[in-house]
Amino acid sequence: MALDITSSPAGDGGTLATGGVPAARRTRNDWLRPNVLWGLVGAVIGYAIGHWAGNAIAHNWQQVQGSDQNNVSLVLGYLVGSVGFLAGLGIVNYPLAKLVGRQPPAPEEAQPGLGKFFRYTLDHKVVGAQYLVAMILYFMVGGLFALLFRTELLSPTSHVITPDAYIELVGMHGTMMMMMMTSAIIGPFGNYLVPLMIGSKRVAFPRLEALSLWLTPAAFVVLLSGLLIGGFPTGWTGYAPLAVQATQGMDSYLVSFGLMALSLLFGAVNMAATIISHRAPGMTFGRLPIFVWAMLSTASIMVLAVPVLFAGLYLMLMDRTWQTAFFTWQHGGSPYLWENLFWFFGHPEVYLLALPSFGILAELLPVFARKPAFGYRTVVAGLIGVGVLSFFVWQHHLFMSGMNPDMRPVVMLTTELISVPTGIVYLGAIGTLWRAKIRITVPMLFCLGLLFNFLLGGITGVFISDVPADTTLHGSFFVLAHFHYTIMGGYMFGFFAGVYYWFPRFTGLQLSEKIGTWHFWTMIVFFNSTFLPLFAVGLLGQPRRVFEYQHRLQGLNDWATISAYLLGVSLLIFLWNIVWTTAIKNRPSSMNPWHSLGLEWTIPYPTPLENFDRVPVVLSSPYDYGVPDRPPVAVVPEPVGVGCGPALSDPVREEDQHG
Amino acid sequence: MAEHSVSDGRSGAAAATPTSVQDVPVHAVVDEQAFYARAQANASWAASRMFVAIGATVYGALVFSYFYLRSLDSNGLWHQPSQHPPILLSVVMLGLGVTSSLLFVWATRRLRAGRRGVLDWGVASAITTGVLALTVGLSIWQLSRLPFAPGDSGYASVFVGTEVVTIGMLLIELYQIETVLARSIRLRGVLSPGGDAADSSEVMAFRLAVDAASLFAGFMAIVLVGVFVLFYWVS
Repeated sequence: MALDITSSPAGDGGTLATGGVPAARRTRNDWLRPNVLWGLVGAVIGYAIGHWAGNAIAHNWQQVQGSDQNNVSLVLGYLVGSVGFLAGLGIVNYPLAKLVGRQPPAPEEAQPGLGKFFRYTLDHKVVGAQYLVAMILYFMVGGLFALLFRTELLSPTSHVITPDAYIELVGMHGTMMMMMMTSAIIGPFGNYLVPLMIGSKRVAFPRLEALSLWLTPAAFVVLLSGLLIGGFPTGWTGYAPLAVQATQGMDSYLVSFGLMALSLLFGAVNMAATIISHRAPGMTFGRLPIFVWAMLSTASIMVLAVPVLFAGLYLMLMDRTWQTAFFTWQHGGSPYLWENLFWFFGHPEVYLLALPSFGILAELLPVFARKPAFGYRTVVAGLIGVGVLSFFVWQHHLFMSGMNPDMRPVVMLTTELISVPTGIVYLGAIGTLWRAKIRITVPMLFCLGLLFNFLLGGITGVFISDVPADTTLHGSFFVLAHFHYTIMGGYMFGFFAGVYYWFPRFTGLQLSEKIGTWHFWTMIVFFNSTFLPLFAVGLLGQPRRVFEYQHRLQGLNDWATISAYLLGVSLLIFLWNIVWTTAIKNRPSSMNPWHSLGLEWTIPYPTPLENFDRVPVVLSSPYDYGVPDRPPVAVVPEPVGVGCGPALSDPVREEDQHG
Repeated sequence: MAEHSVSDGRSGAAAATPTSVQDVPVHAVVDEQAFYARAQANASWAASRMFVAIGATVYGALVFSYFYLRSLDSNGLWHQPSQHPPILLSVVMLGLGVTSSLLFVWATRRLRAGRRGVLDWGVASAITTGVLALTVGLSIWQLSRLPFAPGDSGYASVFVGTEVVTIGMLLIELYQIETVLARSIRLRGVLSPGGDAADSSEVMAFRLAVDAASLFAGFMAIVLVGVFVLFYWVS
């Protein structure tokens, strides 16, 4: 795959030529232009070609004839199918044209209508919106798997599904949520908002950004296809040697995770490069919105952690196809090698989820507290500290296996140490709320919910980082409840806070506060009602990933399952809110509905193709709420003869200055 | 642009960070073309290093696998004495790969320093492209004729796994160099002496691409030496 990192300053890397009116590309019939349907056609053709090639290569290999399973053909089918999908979307056109030195295509014009959302486009705002829809879809599908296996847990011994189907659903749910949802915040909000927040007209590498998006549906379909060929029995962690021995569904896990790893890497490189290089004049690192700091920290972790995952997945694929023996001890390998490689990514992965939600939290609280962000620099240091320390804790996942026992106290200490920067971020949030005139809106409610949930998730995390506690609770529902409190209780509450807060920026419409309030209260009540009992279930000895349990635990399990259904209902309320707002009520939002000082709110809706008429000059922090005589956040210098232009729209200034 | 350029707040004494409207000079306007040219150059610089970091981390995982399996020596099957890939072929591939990569790096440095024109650089790039293609071909040929099976031992597994990654990386290097070479042919008019290259954004993009390709070529030269040392010397 071409790594296009060389888009030209004049806009050949994107739709956004600097100055002047971009030359329009030749118009063609919409159906003939590359779009998602052509992508599907390409995927089918590619899969057929890859499958055929795999059969041609490996049909007479010993393990293929012995097992009647040709993993080579399946893997090649997936890979060539994915390339076919990208080709159908038109993503490989320019990388191929570069081989013969062709000029980059002329920039596109802004496309009206919904058609642009089904195409490969280089407009970061469209990519952000595409990401948002995709992430909601993946989240809902992953949640549906959870409801299915929770149904099985209604009874300890009467069964709705088979043990194999149960573990497949658990694995699908875990992989969908941990793998696909890694981009849930950096994908939609990062891609859409970061250029606006830093005062840029564009992202650094729009092709990489778009590629990172379009790899996710390929990964999604490949992962789901695993259900048709037996699923995978390993859960989301893919442990060897089970993964080496598993049937072909395991290949879908490996290929889809690999595609997502590429997606994360491309997205991270674009994000980091954009933040480093495309900040408007005056947007110093000391004025950078905390959300953007969180994106930078997340992207940095991705660049260093995800390649190790990618390497691990590749080695596992080599074991399953080319019959290497990385994870087979009988032939000189070791299953513990996988555990090390996987968790070197897997634990920073937790912070890939946590940091963006911290960023949203720290970004939104000053807006609704009407106070400057408390301890801005300390909170930023906390975000960076979490990112750095996240690379020194992965071995706590190996406390019970594959680790020299003498090393455990060291890792226990590093794990406990990471609670310090995390706590700093948390305290920064509390400090911002302290003695504030808090506006209770739906995004604020989700922020407060995040604080509550993450407190429980964080404290139980410190508890089980202790070796004795982990020895007792390892592999139990207690651990499951802990990480759901951090990930769903933290990450997804942050996600929803972001959706409610920035929905007017994305769509020009304001989500219903009333329905949103219902969504919040049902979600926080039933989230806690689902997962709080699971701490008890775990302490009482119920192991994860086992579809039968002791009869005495049925009451708690039934409570959790029914609560999970109701949690599902709360998510339907969210979907209803979107339908109500966009299709029925259609209530337009004001330009800056939250009276925020953020640069992203200074632009009218619909957001112009190039975001800003001219590059703005940033003058002050976006968190100076209530600061007397503060300058405007930014101004747009006018052309010669007009003088320095007015401040960008700043409707909150007078309000803040007069209390 | 004749107007003042407003500070970008990032560098230099003239770049004092504006803190009020008065700090923004009257008639000031950001020279957007220059601003985004510099931004894209910085972005390209940063991204090319990130991709090298990504590549280094992938190799880091492979090196970790090498030493981890070697230290465990599971079932006494880390490395059997008879398992050696053909040394002569490997030395030839090492020589070809390293020499061609360094040739490209060297030619790029000369181009950047203005010692030679683009023709000189183009010839070096064409040679690099051909030699790299030959190296990739030989690597694939070697893999198909190894005197051991991939699953015979830990060493055999890591060797095969690393070779396949290296072939992939060499193909990326090949793609990068071939595409900048093709671009240089298209731009030969403006790149040639006397061509109006100074203000061309195309030329700027070309230079960024050449720098990125040169960085990656240098990285690959180091990787090839490292891989050779690991599998033929340390083992």
